[in-house]
Amino acid sequence: MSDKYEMTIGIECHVQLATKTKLFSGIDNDARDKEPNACVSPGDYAIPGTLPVLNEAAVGLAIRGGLALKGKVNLKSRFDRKHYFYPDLPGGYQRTQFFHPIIGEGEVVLPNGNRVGIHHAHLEEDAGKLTHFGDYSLVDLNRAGTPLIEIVSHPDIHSAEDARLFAEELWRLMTYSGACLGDLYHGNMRFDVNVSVAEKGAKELGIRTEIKNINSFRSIERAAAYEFERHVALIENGEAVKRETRGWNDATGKTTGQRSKETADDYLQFPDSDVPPLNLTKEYVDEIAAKMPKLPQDYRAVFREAGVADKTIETLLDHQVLAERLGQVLEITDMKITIKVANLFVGTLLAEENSGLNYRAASAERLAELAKMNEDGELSSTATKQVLVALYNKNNGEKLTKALAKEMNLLQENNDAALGAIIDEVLADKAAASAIADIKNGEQKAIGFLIGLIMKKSQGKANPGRARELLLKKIG
Amino acid sequence: MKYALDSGIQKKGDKVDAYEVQKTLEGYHAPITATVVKRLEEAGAELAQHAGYEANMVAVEKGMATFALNTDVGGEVMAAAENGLYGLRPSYGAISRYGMIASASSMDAIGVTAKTPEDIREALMLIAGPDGMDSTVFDDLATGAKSGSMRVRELELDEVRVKTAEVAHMVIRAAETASSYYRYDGIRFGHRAKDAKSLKDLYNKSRAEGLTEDSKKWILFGTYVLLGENIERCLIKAQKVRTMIIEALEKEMVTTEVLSGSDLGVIAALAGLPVVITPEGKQYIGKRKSDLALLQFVADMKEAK
Repeated sequence: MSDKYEMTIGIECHVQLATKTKLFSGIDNDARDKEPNACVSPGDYAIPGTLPVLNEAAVGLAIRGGLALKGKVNLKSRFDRKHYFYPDLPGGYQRTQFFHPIIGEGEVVLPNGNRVGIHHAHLEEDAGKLTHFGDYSLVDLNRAGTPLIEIVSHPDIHSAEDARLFAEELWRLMTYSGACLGDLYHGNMRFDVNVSVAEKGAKELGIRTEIKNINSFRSIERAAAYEFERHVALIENGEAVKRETRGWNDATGKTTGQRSKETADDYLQFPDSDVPPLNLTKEYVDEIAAKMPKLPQDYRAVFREAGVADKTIETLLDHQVLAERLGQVLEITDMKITIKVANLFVGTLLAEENSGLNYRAASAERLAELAKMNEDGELSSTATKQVLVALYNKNNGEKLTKALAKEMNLLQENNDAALGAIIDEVLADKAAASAIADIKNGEQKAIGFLIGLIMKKSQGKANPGRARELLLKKIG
Repeated sequence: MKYALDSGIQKKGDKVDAYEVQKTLEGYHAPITATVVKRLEEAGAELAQHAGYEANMVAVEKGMATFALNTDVGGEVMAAAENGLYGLRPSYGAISRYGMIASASSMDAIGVTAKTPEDIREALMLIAGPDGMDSTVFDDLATGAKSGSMRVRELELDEVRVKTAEVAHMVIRAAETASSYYRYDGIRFGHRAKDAKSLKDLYNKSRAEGLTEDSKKWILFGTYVLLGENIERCLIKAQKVRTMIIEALEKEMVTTEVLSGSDLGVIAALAGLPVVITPEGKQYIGKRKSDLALLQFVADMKEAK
């Protein structure tokens, strides 16, 4: 049934800019551990007579975010007032860039190659927060005035999975560029997902619903998939899809209607003359552009070429520091070593038991040495993992990887004489006698038993491959 | 030096009752001090009275204050002449608006009245200049031609032009005032209606009870000119008129520094230009930021008489 239909998705994302202070007041922007209304200036409270003073840092971060979206930076932009009554909006209007946004057309390329156009991104201030109790509500204005950019995509997305991929990529772009800290739990990025469904090939889009305020990637995918099925069922039953705002309930896995949008709201937008027009110079923008770091798509291309598995790349790209480090490893070594380091990152460093490590601690040189030692048989795979974690211990910062491995007593025994002595000891043991006989009778399984004894005797340091060769030679 | 201060300009702790929003600010005491007040306090000036603009002009006339600071949105300061005083509506951005109860943000200004242009000049020197609290304030008040070389010409305005300017002023004023008054909602300060049944009811009642009839007219008109397609027909058209006025005045002042005439208050407010009125009712508009030179020009005229 669903095969007949195609869904079209456009996403709006509110990104909290990582500034120290608010967009128009010098008040602390980070109220995570603060009492309600602890970070509120007279202006944030909309005291009569207060005026906005634009925070330049927010402008810089908006530009960084915009450049990450390959967006056109508009040298002239302006703030407008968007009016509505609600207790979380103290002045009765939100300062936003309705007519002239700072960032114009851009584009995000998803890991699967699909492209999503960016319509624009504009600067605006956040509202406060309302908490409802029985017959009253309390207002917390800590978040009122927090700088945001709202990124508005074109309706270029056609699957729930792509909706998630787009959101994930946006998160990477915003955190890599430094525009946002990316703390989704605290609502640093909030997504509104607009979904419409029409028969495949139809000229016109269906009626769209907007699922508001989602702050997890998985929920975006689930909510979009749910809406698709809901729209299809309505259409198949000959019922109309209502143009409305809906909320996503993660527990029930359903969306529910919140507010009908049959008639468009009129927010009476017009220019806010309290904030002078924002006039940027090309030099200013160029200076910011010159300081932009590498972005996920840059690393993706390079790592793919080096032969790192796609799944490994995507996991790594969620960690800018590791992506940067792997890029450096690739520069000083070869593809083989790079793939090894990538696998160590994803398989070991990112394992749950190693959470909390400072991913900056180990340099590309040490990591390359580590992978090379494993490659050369100097470290077993278990030992390699142990040394990797040790490299991230701050006490080991200055040590060479080999010295560290030696200190940890993990170097493999590759010396034939030493290895031979151990093997001789094992073979002399009574426990080995029947195994030796078995091997001579062609029973391969018994080799493993003897290698096990050799490893035990060497306290795990024997190179199992070399030990096997020497063993077979001795038994003849 | 003593000064009289408009009740719409705040001094921390003082009651605020700007006339437009009187009831909604009942029982409200200013939590902030206006930049102009702060600067005058730092200069050792003494607040003679904190009252309405008529009372303030009388105070200056009677010598109880050297000058008065009053809010001005469309040339209200021109009433100075009726009290035998000089009045200046400064260039937009000459004096910080921080602490002044806003109505039409793009035209709000603090006007100065005094017995002599020199007194106004002295007040201006104390209160003007950049302010970290108001980003529309400029920092080069001293620019503009010296008065010695200033030429004056009569600005001839027919009735249609005057009326057109007045309508444009009224439309912009209404839109901006309606916007500025959104904050008088009874949620955080000022008058809050009792026995509201819902949030919407609380807003409706608090504003219906708190705002004056005059304010309500501005709000209704301002909302009308912003609503739907009206914004094109009304506000945007008014802004075009405003731009035309600014350009026309710039053209007029290519060969002259000062324009004289009547009914200049509204035009100066729209264009953001400084305007001075003399006790005889003569009005002079100068170029933007030429406030000090314009005052000097008026002072020289007085000497010449």
